[in-house]
Amino acid sequence: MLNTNILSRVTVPRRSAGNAGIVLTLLGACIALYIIVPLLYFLWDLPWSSLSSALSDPEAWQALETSLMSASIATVLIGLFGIPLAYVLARYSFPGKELLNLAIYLPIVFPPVVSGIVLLVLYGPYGPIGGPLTAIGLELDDTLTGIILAQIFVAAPFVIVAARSAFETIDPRLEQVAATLGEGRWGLFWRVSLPLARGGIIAGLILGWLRALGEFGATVVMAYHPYTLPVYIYVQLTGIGVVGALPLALMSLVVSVGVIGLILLIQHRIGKQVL
Amino acid sequence: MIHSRTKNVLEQEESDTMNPSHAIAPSETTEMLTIRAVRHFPGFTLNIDFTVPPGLTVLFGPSGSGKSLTLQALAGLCQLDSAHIALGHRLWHDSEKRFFLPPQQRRVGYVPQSYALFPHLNVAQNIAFGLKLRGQQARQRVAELINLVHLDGLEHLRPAQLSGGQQQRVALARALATEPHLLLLDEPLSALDAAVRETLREELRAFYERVRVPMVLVTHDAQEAHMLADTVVVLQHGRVLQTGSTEQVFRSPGTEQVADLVGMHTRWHGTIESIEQVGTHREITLNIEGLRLKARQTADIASMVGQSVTVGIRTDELQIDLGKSAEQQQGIFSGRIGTIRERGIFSLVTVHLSPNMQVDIPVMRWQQRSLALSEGTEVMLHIPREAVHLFADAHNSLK
Repeated sequence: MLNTNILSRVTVPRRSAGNAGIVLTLLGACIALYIIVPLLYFLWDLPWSSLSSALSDPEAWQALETSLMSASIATVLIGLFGIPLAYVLARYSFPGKELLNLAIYLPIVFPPVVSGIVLLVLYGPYGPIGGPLTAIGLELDDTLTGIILAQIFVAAPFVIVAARSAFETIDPRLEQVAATLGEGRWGLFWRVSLPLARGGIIAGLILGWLRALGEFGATVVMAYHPYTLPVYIYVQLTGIGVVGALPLALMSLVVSVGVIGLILLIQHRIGKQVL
Repeated sequence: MIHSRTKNVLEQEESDTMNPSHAIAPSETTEMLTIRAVRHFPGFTLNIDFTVPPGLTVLFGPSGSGKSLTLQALAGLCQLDSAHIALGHRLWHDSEKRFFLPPQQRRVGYVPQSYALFPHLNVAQNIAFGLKLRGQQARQRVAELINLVHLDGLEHLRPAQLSGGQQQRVALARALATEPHLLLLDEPLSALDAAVRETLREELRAFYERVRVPMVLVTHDAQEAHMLADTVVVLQHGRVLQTGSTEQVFRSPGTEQVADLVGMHTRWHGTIESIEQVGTHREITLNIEGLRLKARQTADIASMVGQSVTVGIRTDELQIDLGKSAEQQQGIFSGRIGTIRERGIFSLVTVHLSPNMQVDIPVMRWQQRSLALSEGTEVMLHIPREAVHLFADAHNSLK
């Protein structure tokens, strides 16, 4: 008697929620399919026979190497300077802080090509920084350095924003206690804040690295050469057509899937949701 | 039988009340903790001033009274507009001399509410956090502390794997590791289940007896303050209402505000009929709505015959009995029970002595049963002089 009562009470809201559930599931399924179907069709349609010849193209491997190297260097530099900035933004208040917070978002909202133009104006051969450096033989545009500069500009906000919110979620009382235990500012950062923000920072760095790896718009303006993988794909696409670009797209896909696998592994290791 | 036993207890308490302010002994003045601090916030001003002897001091007051802020001020963790803070000869803050000792150098052990253990460190690492020792010495010190707070075997667990009581002990050990001059505990028991809280109160007092480090503990719980404190500082709206020994504050609250906070809710108004000097005390006879009540008063308070006064009643000193009497005996009054309200292990029995005089008396269930008390019952109420508290502030009413 009691049991049936409880059951009927449960089933009533469940059934009404069921309709909403179906609608929401269908809406969600549409977008999920929209993302998955092209990828699957891409793999199915790929001219697997011509793959080996395309993959023996040394320029493709060179482009991949350039991409991996530049994205990794950019990410290290972003971490080195971006994590301290995130900490300062999370912990201190100073005049103009709100403005700085907004400015950091600009590279996210800019079309990447615009970011590239902005950088080229400053670092290009006729810019106030790029000019003198070019004069002494240190060209920034069309070099690996140029690629890295473009990637840092575009990817840094992801790291900074993620790290800042990771620092902000730390209970301030932990730092207060550490202070009463004799720990100075430097120690607070290394022994309390940084280890506790680790998960968020790692998430930000992975996101930033992926953003740098896939960067096209700013890179193509700032440094057309040496080719990164996205730029080389574009070159093949415009030169040979889709057939020429397909094996390279597969290469890019494999790298991305590999990274997602890595993220899942890290997530499993640190027991925290990274992305 | 039962009555004679109650009487013994009464006599004992009587001798206790004769000895006020035992907590402030002159020999301990060298290590007094002094704080004067002002801080203006939008809508709230902290303006506190108290000096307490070493021992277990409880900052007691309702939430929002500035207790936690006071604790943070002692630790050096909050900005103050002006302040003078010193522990004995150690000066921590003096805004006039532009002197401020940062929290890192005060050697205070701070245990915030819900303990703030470092979640990324295990028990041993948490405790060792503030140690300047390294290697074998550090390990030995941590082992000592773990033993002191009875956490043996849990060294390698993370805070999230511990119970509330265990977390508290880790926080205490961590705070003790640096051999602090003062321990600051912010609502140490409020994060715990009611069942655990009772045991841990006693454990906390025992812990204090073991380590004997001066302690300042914050609580909004009157019972907790009563059980733990040597000295009580009563705070409300950012100000100190009273500082005194536990005995003073709970039995002789200085003002009606303090009386409300410590649970002395009964108020009667009357006039002083006569004053008689008895040793160091004065016997005051009060006329309250025609009833004659006796009260005791220390000699340092000026009062005079004819003065109107407010009294508070220590309801735990009242005795309730059956029968009718025409007030032949001293301090015995007849009344009638109004309501009886359940309060768990006891009941609050409201006794009406006259239309404007009533008092809520805690009565144990066995007592209620053996006297067959029910609403409307005629009872006799013994109000001994120990039950009557004269408010010092009411004495200004003639001026």
